[in-house]
Amino acid sequence: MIKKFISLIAAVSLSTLLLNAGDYNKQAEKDRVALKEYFAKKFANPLKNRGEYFPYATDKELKEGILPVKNSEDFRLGTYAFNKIGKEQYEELNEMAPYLDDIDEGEELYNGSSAIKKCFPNPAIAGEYPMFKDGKVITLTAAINQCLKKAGKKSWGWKKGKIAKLEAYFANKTKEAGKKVNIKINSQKAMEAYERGKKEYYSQRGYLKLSCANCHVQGSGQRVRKEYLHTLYGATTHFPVYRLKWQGLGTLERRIEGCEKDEGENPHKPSSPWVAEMIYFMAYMSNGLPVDGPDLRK
Amino acid sequence: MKKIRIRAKEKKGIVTVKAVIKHPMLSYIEAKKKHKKVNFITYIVAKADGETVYEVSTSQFLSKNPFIKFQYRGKKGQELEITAKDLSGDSVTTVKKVK
Repeated sequence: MIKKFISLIAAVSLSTLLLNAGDYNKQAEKDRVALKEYFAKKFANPLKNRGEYFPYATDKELKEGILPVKNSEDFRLGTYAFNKIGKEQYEELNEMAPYLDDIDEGEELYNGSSAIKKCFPNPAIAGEYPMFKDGKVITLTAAINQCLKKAGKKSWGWKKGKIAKLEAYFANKTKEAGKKVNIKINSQKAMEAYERGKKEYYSQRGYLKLSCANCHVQGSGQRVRKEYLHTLYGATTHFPVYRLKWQGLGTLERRIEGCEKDEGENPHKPSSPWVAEMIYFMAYMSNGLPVDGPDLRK
Repeated sequence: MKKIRIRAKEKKGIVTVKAVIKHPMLSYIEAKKKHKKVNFITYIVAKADGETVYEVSTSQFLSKNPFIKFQYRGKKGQELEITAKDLSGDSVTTVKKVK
């Protein structure tokens, strides 16, 4: 009798443990689905919903500038999902993309360094990062630099140059393998890191008193002077990115630093946990979208 | 000069070729400003199976890393060979099969 009782308690506690193991991303999944539905509703028919979502757009702009987006996966193209003229220019430039040479150089860097080959035996892992390990969030840039430091070499920086080329090689291999963004939240501390990132994304800062959400959730599809703003859904699938303004490749840390400066704030260091948690939140919001490898942007 | 990057595709009897030639392409005035030597591509020719399909004389008007695109009547499996020569006498040739 007592044996049965004990086994029953053991079974119940084990099952609750197993159930709770995957439960840490419950709130995150709710956020992600709500975000996807919001953008699908917003861009379903811009001409009809102009009063609610696009109050400052002119008639001509709504006919040619902001087109409806039918497939949610198109949001990973950023503004080119709904901007017709931008998309034509983007496709023309992509015929002979300027980042193809950087992918080849990244392959040479990967093959020439035995330390990196040991840390990353499979190069198709760009969709798994950032991950929560050893008590903190580790992005792909941080993982590569950690690997180099363990082997006793100098780190390769955080924004451009060799690190961006190596990331371009990883991203290209992930794109060829057809993998999707797959970020996991597996523990209580990871959930807290995600919540911190989410809180920072939605809080106002800088002398313009803007939050990230003001422009990229509420203001997506609208203009700042002449530039359209992209949506948060699908914002991190296409990094490292070749920006025509930089005339070169850059990592996600480089872009976030530029964005902070535009808001009127002293930017955080690319190696700080603030940036890592922000990337953790943004990347989770794009879970399930295909990894786009290096891509071209204005 | 570095290898030319070529993409050649055949569709309904017409082959579309896109190629990028890596070259700094400095005109006389640009070279003087940057204190470098003048150098630009002067002649590009493309041959399919030995027969000339595209030939052009160029000069200072082309900008850095010129991107050329042309079409001709051809078949799959042809050997496309593009040659580029520049002012200093240097030249590069790349061969690729039409897909």
